[in-house]
Amino acid sequence: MLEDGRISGRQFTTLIFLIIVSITVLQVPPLLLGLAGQDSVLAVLIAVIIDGVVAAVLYFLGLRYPRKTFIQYSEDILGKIPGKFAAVIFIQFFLLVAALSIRGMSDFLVTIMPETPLTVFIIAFTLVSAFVARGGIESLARMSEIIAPVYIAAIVFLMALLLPEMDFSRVLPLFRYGAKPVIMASLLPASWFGICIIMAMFMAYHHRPEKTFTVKMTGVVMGASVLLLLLIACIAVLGVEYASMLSYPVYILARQISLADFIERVEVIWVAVWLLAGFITISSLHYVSALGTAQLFGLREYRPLVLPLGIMLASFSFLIYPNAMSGVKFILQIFPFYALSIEGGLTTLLFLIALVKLLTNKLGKERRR
Amino acid sequence: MSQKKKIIIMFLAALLLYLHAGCWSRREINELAFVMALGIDSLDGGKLYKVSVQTANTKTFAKEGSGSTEEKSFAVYTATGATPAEAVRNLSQQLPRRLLLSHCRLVLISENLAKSGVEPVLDFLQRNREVRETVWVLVAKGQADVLLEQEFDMEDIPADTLSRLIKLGEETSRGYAATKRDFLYKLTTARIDPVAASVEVLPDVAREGKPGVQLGGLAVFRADKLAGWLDAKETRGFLWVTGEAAAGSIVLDSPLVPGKVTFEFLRVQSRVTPQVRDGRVVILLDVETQGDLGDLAEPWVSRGQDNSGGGMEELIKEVERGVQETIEDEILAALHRVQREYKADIFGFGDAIHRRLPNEWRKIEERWDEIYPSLEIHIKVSANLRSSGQTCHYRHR
Amino acid sequence: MVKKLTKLFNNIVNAINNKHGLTPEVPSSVKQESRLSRRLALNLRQLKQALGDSSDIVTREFSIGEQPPVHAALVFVDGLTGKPLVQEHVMKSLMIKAPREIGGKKPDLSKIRENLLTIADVKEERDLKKIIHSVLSGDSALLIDGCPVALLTDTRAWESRGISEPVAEGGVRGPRDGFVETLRINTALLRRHLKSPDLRIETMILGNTTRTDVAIAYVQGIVNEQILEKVRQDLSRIDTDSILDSSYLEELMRGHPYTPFPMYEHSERPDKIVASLLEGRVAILVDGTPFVIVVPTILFQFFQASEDYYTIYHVSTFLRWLRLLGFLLSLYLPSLYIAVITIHHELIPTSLALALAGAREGIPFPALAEALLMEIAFESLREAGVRLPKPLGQAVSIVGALIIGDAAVRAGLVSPAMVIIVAFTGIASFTVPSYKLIFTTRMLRFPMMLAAAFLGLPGIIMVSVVLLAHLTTLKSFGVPYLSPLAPYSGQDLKDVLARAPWWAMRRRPQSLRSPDPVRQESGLRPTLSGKKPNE
Repeated sequence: MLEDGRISGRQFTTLIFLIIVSITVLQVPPLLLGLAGQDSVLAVLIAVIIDGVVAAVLYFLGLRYPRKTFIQYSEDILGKIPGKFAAVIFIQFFLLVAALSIRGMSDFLVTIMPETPLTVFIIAFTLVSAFVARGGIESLARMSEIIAPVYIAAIVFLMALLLPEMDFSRVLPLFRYGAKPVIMASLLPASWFGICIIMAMFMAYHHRPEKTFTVKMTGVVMGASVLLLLLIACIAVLGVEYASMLSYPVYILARQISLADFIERVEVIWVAVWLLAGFITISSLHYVSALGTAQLFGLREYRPLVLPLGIMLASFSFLIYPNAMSGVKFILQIFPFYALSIEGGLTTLLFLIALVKLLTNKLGKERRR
Repeated sequence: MSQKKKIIIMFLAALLLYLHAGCWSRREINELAFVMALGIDSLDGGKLYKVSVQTANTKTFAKEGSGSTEEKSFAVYTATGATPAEAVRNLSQQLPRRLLLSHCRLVLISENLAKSGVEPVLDFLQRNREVRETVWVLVAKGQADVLLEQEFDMEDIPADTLSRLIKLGEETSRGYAATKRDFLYKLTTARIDPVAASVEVLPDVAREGKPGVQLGGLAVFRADKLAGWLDAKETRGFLWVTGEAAAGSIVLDSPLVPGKVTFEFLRVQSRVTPQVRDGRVVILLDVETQGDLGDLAEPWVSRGQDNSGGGMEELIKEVERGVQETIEDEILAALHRVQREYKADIFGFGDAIHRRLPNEWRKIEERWDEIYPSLEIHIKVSANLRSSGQTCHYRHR
Repeated sequence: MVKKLTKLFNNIVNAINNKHGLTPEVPSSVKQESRLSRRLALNLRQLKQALGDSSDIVTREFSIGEQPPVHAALVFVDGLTGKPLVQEHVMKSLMIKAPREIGGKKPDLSKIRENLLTIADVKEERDLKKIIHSVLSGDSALLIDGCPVALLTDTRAWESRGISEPVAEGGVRGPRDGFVETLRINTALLRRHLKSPDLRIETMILGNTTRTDVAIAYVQGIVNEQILEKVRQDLSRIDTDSILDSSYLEELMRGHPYTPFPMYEHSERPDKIVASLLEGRVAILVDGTPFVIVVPTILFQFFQASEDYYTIYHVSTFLRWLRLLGFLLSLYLPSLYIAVITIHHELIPTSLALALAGAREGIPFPALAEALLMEIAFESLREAGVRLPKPLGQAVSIVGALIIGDAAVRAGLVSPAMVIIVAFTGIASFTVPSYKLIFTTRMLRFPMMLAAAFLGLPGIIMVSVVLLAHLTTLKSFGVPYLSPLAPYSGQDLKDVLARAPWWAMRRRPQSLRSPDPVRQESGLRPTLSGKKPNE
């Protein structure tokens, strides 16, 4: 057995939650505020609905092929060669997102510690993520179970301290430009929430798979709420125009706290919890890529793949874009379409074919009767 | 040796390579020059920037150090460059230590530079990771570096003293100081124009020959260019409109007897409501204030007490009316200067229209610059005398 | 080309698969046993051969009865055996009180055993090896000519330390007895505290040379059978020559051989062990050491002191938080200080930053070197103090405090702030009741400080993530090491993040999967009227 761990519903929720609140809250707010302004809030809500549909599709597939990850059942659905091809697409998607996350985190840290080379962060992150990935799914799930409450507590603490700085009238006007730009803008958060197709990998190890949809959506809704909270805080404290001008508005937001000349300079709390969540994300993706590759080739053990994949990840992170500015362009113009075509497109394709198979099976049985 | 061990050793060896580079971002805290205030001037008609920094002399802050207490607690260094960033870099030619801007308390922009546009400076301040959003952005009347050199008697570092002055000024509703965040928020939001506090050197205030520094009125910007100044009365007018007034006093002629009455306001609320009237957008401005009697100039001690309550309602009514008139007067003065003369929307009327009447705003957005100077503003002030302070005496015959 | 590639690929796949396959276990060889003969002289010679010429082994030959007299010998170890016991209840009975007709060609062993030996515990044994083990454990072996059987009389009575208050785990309130070096006394102490018929004690002998008695204690019906079976398996797997302390077992039993974290809790206090047994844990007692180990162990056990349960629960809760804080501080404080003072200067409040910079003015070392220097000095001081005789130890601490605390600062070698940090770290680490865990944090501080110096806060986070990942993979006899926290169990947290009052701790820890999980019925909370709350 490649992985004999089991995770609980609570752990499932926290894993999904941390995956959303790590890299998404770093990359999405400035771009989303630039696209949709005050309506970003609505865009996030739409993205949650889009993600819910994808989750329902994967939930159906996971129940139809119990105890199988979608690397395994895509072969059952599509047949051997096309199935393996689909699996390869999923694996490279996870690898790419992992590389993107590592790069995003490193880019951010370089703005805080400019003298440290990007390489150092990338290699260090990859090593840490490889170590965590080798621990297996139970270790990952337990870590997220510990980190998620800390993250939530930190966010609540920071938000409470930010309250005096907020001017809620800046949240208006809503719907200034109508529905169309909002829906277009919602593709951006949707593409990042879509990383949660990782649920199709975790569902096989969920100890109550029939509850997967509920626990997964709980995680997504919790994560989206944090994102919403941060967006609203960005608007209320910094204003749409200023926040969308900043590379990392959430970090700048945390820097605004200044209470009675005593509680200030606490942005480090946010950086700390966000880094913790970030490690869960990249390790999850790293782990899933290794596990998926092992399943693809029918290996009995995924651990030997972790380090080679790590080397790939690190080099991928270097090469993915030349500088942070082109990174923004990539995330804004290329990533949503690339990601959604896999998160939405490929999964829906799998779903439809599986559905057709199921129906023809049923019809066949009825005819035989 | 197993293969696993070999791989691990190779990885460790690769890591060692990186250790060769040393500790990249590491700077010992005693190798830093703590910049407490940053001054930026323009030279050569805006071609060159002159940056001056007020750095803390950390030796004097050690409780039990070898540094003598006779040493000056700060030093000012100046350098020039084609851009603010370059000028800051050029400072390293004189300063043996690396600059640390994270603890900077205020940024002084000289009047000349402010007139020619502050956008390059603020862009530098925003890109720089060290300058925090809570630094005060001030406009120096005159040269910024001269201001930074001024010494105060009371405090160790002038920047500290100045920032305390600013805070006190805000608490007593004498001034309003913009932080980097406020300034940038208003600068990036096209519908509001920024303001900043001003500082000036007073050559004639002689303290053993040392000139003093004092806070002046507000500097009004139009987009990123300095448009003009507000005096004390107009400044408070601005504070009434924006609701930034915190606490302070209004002195009135005593309504019933010769003498003065002080109204100490403690709470101020203002509401800006845009409205469409006859196809035109007008602004309704509501200001509410509450306060106590600070003093009532009348020799009541010698006359004995009278708590009968005669004339109380009258007094309250009169004081409230006087306060309302004063506030209205101050608001009108500010509005007149800003709206008509400087044509700068520092009150954010445009933004208020944008928020409340987004459809109207879309219609007038293009012509806002023309509409604004003649924008109709209806002022309604209400003052509320809450108590008579720690005495119940209010008699006046 | 394609064929070659697929072949290569298959090879790799096979290589990976084979590497993780199972290798068959080698069965252990069965040892031969040697038995006693009917001739006493031969038996004695065999014994002598086995035991050598040691001066403390006494062989007393005598005869029993008169018609005709039977030769017999008593073999025992001087010092382990109570001589008055032997004289009064063995020798005297056999030599004087025995009826004359007892002798003869075939001595009546059962008569001797039933009527003559007035000793509580007498066993018959034929196996020479077992006889020798018995003798070396303090029994006296009675060998009688003509019988291929030795009578092992329990005459164990050596000098042992009296039951005294445990030194390492003191307390203000609570039972004051502590385990001693003798296994029997220790099991007796357990029985004294737990008079349930369900308390079971299984004994085995471990250590091929030391032949140490090891006992497993548990409460039948409360302990999870799987956990118990694992303990049994692990103990029987041990094949080593010596067990001198229970700590030997900790390293030889199941688990994670490379982890720096303590995977076994030990205690000298019977009350603590009994409490653990009642939670469903298994205690392992080893002869010759007062330290009893308890499994399965979770991290948070190291934050619980037995006195927590004897004081007001609010106070205990507060103290537990204090300990957790102390633990975190002792792990993180120096590295956070280094990170903040060398990399993240913007995080210090301005006035403090200026003061720190002023205080560091003229210090020749970078903060990392300064911290390492101070930490090493501090650790040396602690280590020097632990093993020195008490009067000398005091001298060391005085010298250390003077030199490090004062002279180094005055000489400008270290900054006063660093002295405060290191000293406070030391104090914080002493708040954790278990010194085992403190050893771990003392050690982990160093990589943490290095990471902080190189990568600042991200470095600290990275080391923490690695630590956390490591901790989450640990399991003690099937129970996750971070148990009530991850996997989460709200009910168990009552005794981890707080110390719930007794009436609220209705159930045994969930993580131990006890077959009888309920400790007590609900409704135990006292009310003013004395009635049950839901009546």
